Amino acid sequence: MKIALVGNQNSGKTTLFNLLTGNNQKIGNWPGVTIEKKVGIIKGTNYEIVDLPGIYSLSPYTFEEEVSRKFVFDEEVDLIINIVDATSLERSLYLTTQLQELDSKVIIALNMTDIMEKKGVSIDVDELEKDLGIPIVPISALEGSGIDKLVKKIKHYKDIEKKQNKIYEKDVEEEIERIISILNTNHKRFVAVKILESDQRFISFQTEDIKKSIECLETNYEVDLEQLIANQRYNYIVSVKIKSVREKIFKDTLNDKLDRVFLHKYFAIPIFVLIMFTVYFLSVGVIGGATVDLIAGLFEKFSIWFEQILISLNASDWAVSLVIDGIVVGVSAVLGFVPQLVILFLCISLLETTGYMSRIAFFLDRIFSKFGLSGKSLIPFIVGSGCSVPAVMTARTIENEKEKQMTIILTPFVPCSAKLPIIALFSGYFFDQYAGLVSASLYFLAIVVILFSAILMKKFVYKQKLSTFISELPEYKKPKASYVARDVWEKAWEFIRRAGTIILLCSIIVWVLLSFTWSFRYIDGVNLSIEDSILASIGKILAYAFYPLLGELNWGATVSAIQGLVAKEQVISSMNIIAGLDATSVSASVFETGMFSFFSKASAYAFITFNLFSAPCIATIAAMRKELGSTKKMLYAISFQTTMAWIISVLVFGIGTLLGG
Amino acid sequence: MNNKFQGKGSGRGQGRGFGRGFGRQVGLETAYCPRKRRLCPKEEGHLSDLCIGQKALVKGVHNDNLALRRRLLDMGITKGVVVEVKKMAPMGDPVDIKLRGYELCLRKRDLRNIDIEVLE
Repeated sequence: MKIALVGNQNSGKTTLFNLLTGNNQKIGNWPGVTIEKKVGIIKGTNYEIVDLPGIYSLSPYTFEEEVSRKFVFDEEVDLIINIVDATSLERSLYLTTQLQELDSKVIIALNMTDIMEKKGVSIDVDELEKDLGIPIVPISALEGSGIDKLVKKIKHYKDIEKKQNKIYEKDVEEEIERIISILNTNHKRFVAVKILESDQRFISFQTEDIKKSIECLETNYEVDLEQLIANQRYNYIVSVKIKSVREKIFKDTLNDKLDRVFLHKYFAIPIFVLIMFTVYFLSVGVIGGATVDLIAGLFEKFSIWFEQILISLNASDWAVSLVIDGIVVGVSAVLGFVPQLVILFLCISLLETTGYMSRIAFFLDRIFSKFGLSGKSLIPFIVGSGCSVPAVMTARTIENEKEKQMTIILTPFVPCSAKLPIIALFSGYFFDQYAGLVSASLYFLAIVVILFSAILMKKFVYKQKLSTFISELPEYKKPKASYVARDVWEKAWEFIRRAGTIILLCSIIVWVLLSFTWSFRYIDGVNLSIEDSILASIGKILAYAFYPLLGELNWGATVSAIQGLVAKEQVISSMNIIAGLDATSVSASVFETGMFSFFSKASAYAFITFNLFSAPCIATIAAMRKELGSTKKMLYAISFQTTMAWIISVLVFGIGTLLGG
Repeated sequence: MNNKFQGKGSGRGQGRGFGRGFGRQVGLETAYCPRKRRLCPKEEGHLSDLCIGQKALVKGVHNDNLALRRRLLDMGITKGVVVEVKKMAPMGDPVDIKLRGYELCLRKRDLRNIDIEVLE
């Protein structure tokens, strides 16, 4: 049996989905449509449940709505679980009344009943159930209450009687009846209403006869039918709500008080800057720095111990080198940054769950709209400081196509968590006690680059006049520990998993390319040096492109930067492997080896800059390709990014050198 | 028939709208008035004309952008609904309005396409 989970954005849908399915979820793709949907099996049953995107209506206008509507209309859904937010009942029931027009059976999961009581709202569930003709189960997804009852109701879904209320005025209902009688499809009532609304998908059903009736209704009500139906739908909901809901009205809630601070005319932006600074100071600065050294020390010990074991097992020279200088060095260079990332992911997750993120979008929209972006662009940008892949996907919520595309192209400019190791490694060595400040300066540089690029794009590519911003301002919520923990763990695990897969693989490849000559002779460090390796000879040619920003023809830095295409953290993995295999190296720091000792403060900063802004990793490129919808646009985007990166880093190097770095 | 809920709202607003609303505005938020003159109850205008704390009745939504108009209707901005301007972003745009028990942020330009009658 197939169940669809439908509800507004921010209604607790995903929380309910996780409660119902436990850990039995998998992520897949829609047939024909590129959007991730979640499919799971309800615990203790064999019922398949599909988590649809958060929507407000089954109109055909937004991407999410189109997708959801296609699913509930075309797929044979046995049951729809409609999650209804008890704290904004009217708006939630608007969707419910549309779902009811389908032939499918519907159950309402009335969520947030705990918050509702605090807000002074009481709902007579029996009365509401009777009036709507839909079974209602009160739940609290956050506290996990009412779920058993909901599952029980789902199991007895066959007993549910489908009821379709007449919710419109008499003349409209008569017209609907008339259309239904001539229809020959599924979901007759739904289709009839859509025909009246002149919905593009069903426009071919509009016969001359129907067109005349529509015209007649529109003259009677002095308004077009799309608006009329929305009006009457809401009127019906209010009439139902009046009977079953009692509300106490609080004039000045805690929510309003908090907003008076966080959305303050003068303090909102300073508070925002302070919060973001704290986030990055915590993750890149104090705590981050301490843990990185600790983990690096542990890996060092492990590496010595493991080398001994390999030697005692009589492993050949090259095998020991592959494991120690290739795999262990490459992987540990990346894993050392996990604590920093956990802190960063934690902060981002807190910003999201408390509701502050929506506020940021709200009060920065004005500034962003000047640059041709939406306040909502800021959400991908902040998520992007964790990882660009989900960030590029969050850009979907931006209504305007051009704003969306610009956001997608600009998001990879945000220093993501994988770029953090590069920043941390360089700034930690070259700027010592000013490392935190230098990291912060890079984030601000990123903001400048984003806004500057936005102006360029607005001027030359995405010329536009009209755009919109529609966003709900959710109430502040206390974050739930288990949810935040799960969120942070999922993201951190993804990073660790990559260290064990793609970084591991690349480390081996880099080692091979560094340890053999073109004639495939093993470089033992005695007769042949790393300078003779395959990678060195490739790097020496490409090094000319990097000369203007490094001030030196250095193949090691060149090949490392190029590997950023695989994954940004691979840049430092590669540098570590090269430094480790370099015969002249004895020191602990990569910057004291023959290969990388040329770095000055200016070229270090320029090198970071290039890595921050050049084409993102392959996973992000794939996400961009998907969201932009064409390979051409994607190629345009990455060449734009790389050109920008090159120009900026050359400028940085030039200015830095002049200043005496 | 559509105006079933009109009476309730306008009755409450009469007589004390200006005084009370203004009292609450003392402080920095007084500056959050998009127009030089505050609209009086019963006056007609656009949703973009309201000051923080003012309530109004929606008379109609018109917009050339049909997708946007439908979106506004779907979000509950329909004829006869009572809306209240709750917050404004630091630069007076976008505006946060309260309706149907929740809060919605919209750009000022889009609020200009929503006709209203001031309640209080």
